Amino acid sequence: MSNVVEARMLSKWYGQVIGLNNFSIDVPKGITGIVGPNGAGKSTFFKLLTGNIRTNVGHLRVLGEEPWQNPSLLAKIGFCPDYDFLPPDLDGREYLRFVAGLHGMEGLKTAERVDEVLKIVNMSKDADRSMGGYSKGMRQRIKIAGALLHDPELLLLDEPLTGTDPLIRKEIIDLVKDLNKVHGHDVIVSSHVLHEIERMTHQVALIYKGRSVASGDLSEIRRLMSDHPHNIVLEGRGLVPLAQTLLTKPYTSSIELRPDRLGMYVRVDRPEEFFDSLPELVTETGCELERVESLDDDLESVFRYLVG
Amino acid sequence: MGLDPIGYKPWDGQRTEHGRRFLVVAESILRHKLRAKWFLAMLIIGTFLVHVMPLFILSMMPHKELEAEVMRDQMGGGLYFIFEVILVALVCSDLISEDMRSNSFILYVSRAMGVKGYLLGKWTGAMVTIGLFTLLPPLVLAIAVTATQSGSDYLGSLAVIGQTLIAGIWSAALLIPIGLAVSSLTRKRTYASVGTFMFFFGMMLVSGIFTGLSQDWSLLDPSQVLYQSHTVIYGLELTDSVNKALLGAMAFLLTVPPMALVYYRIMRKEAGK
Amino acid sequence: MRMSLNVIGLRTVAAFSARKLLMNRRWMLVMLLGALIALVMGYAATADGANMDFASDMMGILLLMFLLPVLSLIYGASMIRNEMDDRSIVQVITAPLDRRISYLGYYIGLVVVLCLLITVVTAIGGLAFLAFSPEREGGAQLIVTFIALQYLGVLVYSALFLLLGTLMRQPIYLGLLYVFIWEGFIGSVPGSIGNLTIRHQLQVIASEMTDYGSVALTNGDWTMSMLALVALTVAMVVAGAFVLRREEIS
Repeated sequence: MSNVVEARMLSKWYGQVIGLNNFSIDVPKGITGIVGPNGAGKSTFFKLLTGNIRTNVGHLRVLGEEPWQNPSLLAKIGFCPDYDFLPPDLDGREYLRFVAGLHGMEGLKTAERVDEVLKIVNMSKDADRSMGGYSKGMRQRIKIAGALLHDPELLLLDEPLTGTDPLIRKEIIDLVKDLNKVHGHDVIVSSHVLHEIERMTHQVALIYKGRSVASGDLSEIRRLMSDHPHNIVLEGRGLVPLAQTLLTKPYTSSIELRPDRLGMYVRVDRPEEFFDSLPELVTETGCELERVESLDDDLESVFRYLVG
Repeated sequence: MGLDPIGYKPWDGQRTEHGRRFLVVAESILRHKLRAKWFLAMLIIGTFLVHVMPLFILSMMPHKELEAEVMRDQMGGGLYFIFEVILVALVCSDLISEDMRSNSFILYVSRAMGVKGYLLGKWTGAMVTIGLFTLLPPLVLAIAVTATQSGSDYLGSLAVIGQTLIAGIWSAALLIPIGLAVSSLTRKRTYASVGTFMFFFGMMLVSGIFTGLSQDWSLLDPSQVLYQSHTVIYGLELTDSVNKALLGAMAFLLTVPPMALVYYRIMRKEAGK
Repeated sequence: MRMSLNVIGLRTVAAFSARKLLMNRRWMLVMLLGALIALVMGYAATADGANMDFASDMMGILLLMFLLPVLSLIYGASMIRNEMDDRSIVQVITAPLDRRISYLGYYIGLVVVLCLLITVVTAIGGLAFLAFSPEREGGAQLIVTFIALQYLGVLVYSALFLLLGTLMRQPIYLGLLYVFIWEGFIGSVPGSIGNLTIRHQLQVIASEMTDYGSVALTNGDWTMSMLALVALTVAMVVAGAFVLRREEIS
């Protein structure tokens, strides 16, 4: 089996709201990132993969099996949802023993396995503390530990980095990479931040308003981004000569200068060329730049471009 | 997408007087409850069973005038009390508990309203909503019976209508404080609903057990307090077995201490533990 | 292998759900109710003519008519529903455990906790009566009878309210309607319609178990009542299990 997940023309709706709309994807082995803005359908997709909900239309195979009403498949899947569900009165170790029991694990070997996964997620020190006192990062790690406990083939991590600080984010990213490289799990991880996924894998699928927008290697998708028009805001002093110079450049589509002349709005076709040439132009024209910001360097505009 | 800064303009429209701001809270409660399925269902079922059928029966039966005893029995019946308890539980359960859960007191008290204004708004909203069962239908029934009377003493019937107005308001005022008090004791509205029910029915059960020992225990039953106080409102004679001082005390205990408890709970919550 | 997974899983769900119920602060309310019942029964025992018939009637009203259905409602209706609302049920439904087995685990946990609470409250209430009553003969037997009867009631009411909690988003309101309107009001209506309540069937069984109080005079065939309650319990548990299995949980 080369693909861990095969989805064809999946549609899922909740009353009037469409969660997924003719969504098709093949997820290969390794780490795959599912990227999309909030409300794109990432969590709906994960719920379908775990059999929490069923498709209205379409065909879905996870590890070669249909997930709906198939509890035995869940022995091969470890799921870490994006929301907080950990009981605050239990400590980490008790929680993992509970999860172990749900997977039919008991006895001495279970205790050893619990210690093992606590070590993998770096929570051995805090495992005997009540989870009500855990930080966000600790809660994420315990959730991942719960997903790993039964040694699943496939790990589903739904937005594991949301709400974490940069230090914890790095730890979780490194952990995800190790889970695949060192421990051999296939991982599907979702996020709404492209560069976070980029640090974990180059294999991504973009999802927007329930549809698959693009999938494959990240460099291919980046190239698509680079080819679409970019809106950039510049603020500072002496911008008029800079604007005049930019108008002569082939990559500039249009320029709108603010009435106070302290800011301008530049639309470029090839942002890479613009950014490469900007330092030289600033020196040439003698302007003082205080702010340079790309208004379209985010997923929303990428998707708008790709779906537009 | 332009570069103009967001323009801020101060509000130059009319502002409601501080003293009337609680009406905003009350109106919001009424609108919210009128959209709640369970409340509407119970209101319709209760109104039909308790008021609509008697309306037809009493209007069509030959009668000289609207009698105080008839209205007192109508508004003191077991089914009337049960539906009122259900509605109080449904209406009051989330009024304070939801704000406790979401810590949204700050929304009210940071807007020149204060805790008293907040409580007055909640109480008024509950009164108006419960009044849709305790006040409106009985008034309609009373007016219908008056309109179909064969006698000419319309003034007497009007007086009974006036007493019905007071009785309808009192019905709501007697039970709502307990609903609000229970709501202030929990963050979950479902527990508040159950708690309200349990309080009233628990009191009825205990009263039922001890009434055999002494008639005074019957006034532990809130439905009896309601019935006897309606007797007073309608200007009828209380039976000798009813202890007037105890009746007054029970009416006080069911209204004032619960509201004091709600005030205390909110002050404690708002000021922090 | 599958069998041992199901057994371990069932045990785990039952144990952890029971623990969750007991660790919840609702037990304080139960203890308060227990204290209130003890107070009422203790005071009533001092009345003239207080005997085992009176004790039986009081237990019938306070426990059978009030505490048993109310506790079952509070605990049963919120057990699975709360987990669905706060999404902590995800741990159970993403485990390789048939959801029907999970449901059975929840049911067992609920029954165990309710039986424990009912035992404590009934024992406290009954002992409070015996402590102040001049007549004590048959008192211990009466307490045990009511405990056993309520165990049966717990099985049925738990099945009912757990099912309601699985089916509905707001099960408490329908549960309250059932307890206070159907059982409380309709159940008191003379005639056969009053027999269509769990409480009546329990009273029929009680009439076979004790000679004290008005429950002893309840008409009916206790074996039919027992069969009816068992069949109802099994049907509701099976229905609940299938509902959970087919339910889409977001």
